[in-house]
Amino acid sequence: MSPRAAWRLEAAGFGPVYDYAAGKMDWLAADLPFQGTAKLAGTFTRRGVATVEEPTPAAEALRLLEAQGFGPALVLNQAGVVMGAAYRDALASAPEQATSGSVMRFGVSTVRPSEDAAALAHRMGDAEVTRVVVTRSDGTLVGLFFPADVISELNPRPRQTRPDDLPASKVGREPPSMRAGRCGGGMAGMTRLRP
Amino acid sequence: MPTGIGRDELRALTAQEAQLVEVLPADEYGWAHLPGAVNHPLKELDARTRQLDRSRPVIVYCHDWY
Repeated sequence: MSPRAAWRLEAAGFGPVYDYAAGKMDWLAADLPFQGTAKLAGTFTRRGVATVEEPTPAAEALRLLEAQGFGPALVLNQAGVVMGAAYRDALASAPEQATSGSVMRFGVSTVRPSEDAAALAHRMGDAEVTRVVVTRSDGTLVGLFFPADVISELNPRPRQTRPDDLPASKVGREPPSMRAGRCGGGMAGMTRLRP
Repeated sequence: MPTGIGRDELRALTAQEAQLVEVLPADEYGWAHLPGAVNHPLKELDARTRQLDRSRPVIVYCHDWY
């Protein structure tokens, strides 16, 4: 759509004309500020996450995790990209000389901050997932999203009713973010995170 | 010929007073739009061009690549 608009404006005598073809979802997925009524995952994401690098001693990661009060501790590389997650149990039972990298879990599922918060919370609820790592489209860390953080504010559908069981008229209008270009996937493959 | 740009170029151009135009329908604009963007849906674009400043660069965007 934006290429057509750009060409029409140029034909109308405007110039220079630029086309940000990656569009709004690229902007939102990068966790950049926006205006509007959207309630996105990024808005509810906890930013103060315990982070370590792979060489960080497991004992140090555990100390950071316990000081933060929620986790897991996320293992980042030097570019801030999430490489894995180190969970309390693994850190606590690690040998004295163990590093965070040696006990971290690979393959951690992530979502983008551009996800609709209520829809994400519902998906996670259905999958019994209590938190998920939020990253920008380049893999850098935004934080951790907890569905419980949005439940009271967004007043989602009752948990005993699955969305697929409801007629369309009761499900409500699909947020624009879900109509096209979704960045996040389902909960398939997402690890059920422990408290 | 319009020039394709990315996020960094967009930020640089808007800092230099380029106009930012979302060409999606009004409800999509109301849901979320880039800071400072105005809404001129594609279907109404021809009729609304007089609302744009011809002396400044224009950046258009929609939802995503598709």
